[in-house]
Amino acid sequence: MDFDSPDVEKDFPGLYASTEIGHKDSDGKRKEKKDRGYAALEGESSPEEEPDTKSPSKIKKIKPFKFPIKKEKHEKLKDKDSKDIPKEKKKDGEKDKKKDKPKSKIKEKKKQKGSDGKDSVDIGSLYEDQPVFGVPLEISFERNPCHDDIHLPLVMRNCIDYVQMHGLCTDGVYKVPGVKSKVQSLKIQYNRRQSVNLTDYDLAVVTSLLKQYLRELPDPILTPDLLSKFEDAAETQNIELAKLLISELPLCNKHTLTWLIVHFTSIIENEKYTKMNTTNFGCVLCPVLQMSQKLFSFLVTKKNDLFPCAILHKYIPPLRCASPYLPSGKEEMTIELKKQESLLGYIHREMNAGFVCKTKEEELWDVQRIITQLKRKLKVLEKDNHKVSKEKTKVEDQINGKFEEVGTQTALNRKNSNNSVSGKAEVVSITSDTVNISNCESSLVDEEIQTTTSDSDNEELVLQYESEELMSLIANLKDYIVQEKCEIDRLQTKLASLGIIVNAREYFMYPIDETTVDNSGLLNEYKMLQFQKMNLLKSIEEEREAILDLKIQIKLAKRKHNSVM
Amino acid sequence: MKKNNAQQPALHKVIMVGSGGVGKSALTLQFMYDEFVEDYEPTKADSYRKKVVLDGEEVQIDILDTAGQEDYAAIRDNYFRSGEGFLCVFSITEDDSFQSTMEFREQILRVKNDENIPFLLVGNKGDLTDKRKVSLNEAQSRAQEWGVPYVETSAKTRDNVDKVFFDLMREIRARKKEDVKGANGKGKDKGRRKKLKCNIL
Repeated sequence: MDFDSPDVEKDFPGLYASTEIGHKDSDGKRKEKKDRGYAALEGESSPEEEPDTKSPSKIKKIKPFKFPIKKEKHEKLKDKDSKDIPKEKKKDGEKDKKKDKPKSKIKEKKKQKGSDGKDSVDIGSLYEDQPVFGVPLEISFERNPCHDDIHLPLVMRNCIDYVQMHGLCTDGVYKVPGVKSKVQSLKIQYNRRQSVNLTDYDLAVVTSLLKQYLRELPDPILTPDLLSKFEDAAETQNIELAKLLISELPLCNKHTLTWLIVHFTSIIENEKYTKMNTTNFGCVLCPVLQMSQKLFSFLVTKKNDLFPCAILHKYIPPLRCASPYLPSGKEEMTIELKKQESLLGYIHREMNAGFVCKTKEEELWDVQRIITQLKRKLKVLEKDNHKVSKEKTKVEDQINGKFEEVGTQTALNRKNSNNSVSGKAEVVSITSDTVNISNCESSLVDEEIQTTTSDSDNEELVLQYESEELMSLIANLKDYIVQEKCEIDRLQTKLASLGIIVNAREYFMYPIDETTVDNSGLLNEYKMLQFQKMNLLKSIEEEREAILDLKIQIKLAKRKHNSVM
Repeated sequence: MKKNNAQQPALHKVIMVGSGGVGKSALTLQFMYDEFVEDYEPTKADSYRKKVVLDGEEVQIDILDTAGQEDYAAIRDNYFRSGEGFLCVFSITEDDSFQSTMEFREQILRVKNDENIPFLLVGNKGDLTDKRKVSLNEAQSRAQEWGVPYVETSAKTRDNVDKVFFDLMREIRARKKEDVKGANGKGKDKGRRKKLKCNIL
């Protein structure tokens, strides 16, 4: 197996970009054929699973069988586990080996150090000692975490992501069972912490894997303590109580429940394609989830009240390759850094638990290096930001200074209030324009002063007119800035909301073309608006200069007239 | 893994150890980016990779800059285990940091279980001669005792910075060649064989 190849994981996000429809179709055909073949080979399948291997149409008739089984589930689980193990030859052999060995980890560590070639075998058996499947949810998460704050074991996250991508339009999703041997091999891969690429598998295998994982959980997701209370809440349709109970769940359980229910709801919402309504979906999953049909349908139908604003987002694993692939935006870097640190903590945990091998050590250094790089980049970015903000304040100071100059020259009381407002006005995008305008204004004022100094009597009057003009100009410009800002905000929120919709749609497999066209149209509109804005600004500037000129001329004429008089 | 090794140049893994504030990060950053950072910011752990030409051969060096503080001792073993060579740094202006090199040496030997692990004793802050607290003699005699080289550096003036990294890489490279020979003969007696050699020397 390509245990150490970073490429597999790197490719993983690409999972979602693949063309779903074609993929799904071919899967569907392959799946059925293979199912039959393997079902014939696999004589040993447990009675509980047997009905699953038949065609979907028959399952509906057998449904009632599922319920009586539910009660015996716990016992069966144990039986099945013990049955499962001897079935796998590899696992079997390794288990024996492990038993022969003394259990002290120190000795194993030494062995690994001595010979790197044997690493994988030793580690493999160690991993089987600490599996991901069949252990309490929290422990499973610790051994198989997502590194992005969602406390959901990676195996479930991967399965849900896969089904969200490929299964929302598939008839009988979760009902059609996958090839058992493949499910089993996936389970082993997860137990061994190998990077798994689910795109290589059929939808039915993935849904079976998720069901298997849930089935093997020792405790119900709703926890043994709260399960009966949840049932009561469903009985009385008490949303408030259910909300309270959800908040009482441990973090892992809460996240798992949320993701499962939201995911299941999206399948039921696509009933038209999936042919899965609340009832028959419940039939398939209630035994696995260890809850009653009533509770299941309560959770699903009241999803919006119980899990408000819960949105599934696909898992993007931490990057595995340094420099050229690192993000450059501050936010992306911060997110990535968090993921990498989570991954680093996980590697340390695993190593402290005895999983020491060359591959792990290399991973440790690699992740550490990515973290170092990200930290450095963030630092550089922060420094740059600091510089930019300093320059910005400088420019603003300059502008304010200009305004003050004008103000002192005109010696008007009004200047104070106006200046303070203009100082506060956020001069971001239109800074340069304002600077230009104020520049020409002040030069005009200078000229004016030069021409008027000869006549000290009229100077005050002219300046007063002049300042009034300038002040109104400032007020107008300010209004204009505010208007523009509003417009920008409006367009940005519009863009952002459209962006969210686009993402959501992409996830739920709606046609993407239409929205992308929308988006580019909006961008074009935005560009057009920007262009128009620039033109407007230019013409406004010109107009104002002309007006100022004219007014000065009028005033000069008036003064001449006055002097003649 | 094997494929990668064949394609890429040899990779030598160096670990910086020493108590807090002696200049491990400063040495690393000076070597990596030719920069000297004045403001002190404790390191938790940082890792760097650089391509260098070692005696005409292109190699890669991985440097792991560890925390001097005891707080991170729990994760230190994981790093120490994977190191191929160690730069044990102290500040010549601080006797405590010199004393704690003993502990670091012990820790490394415990984890690596190999007395011949490539190792350099590095006295940093060599530019601050007027504040010197650890004499050259003292440091040299300790290095002799351990059978390792002693080098004085200054991360500020870049004195001997390249030297310590390159010297250590040479030791690692020599050690790896020996290991290949050793592996062809006997596998697990490596450690013992080396120890004997050391005594004779």
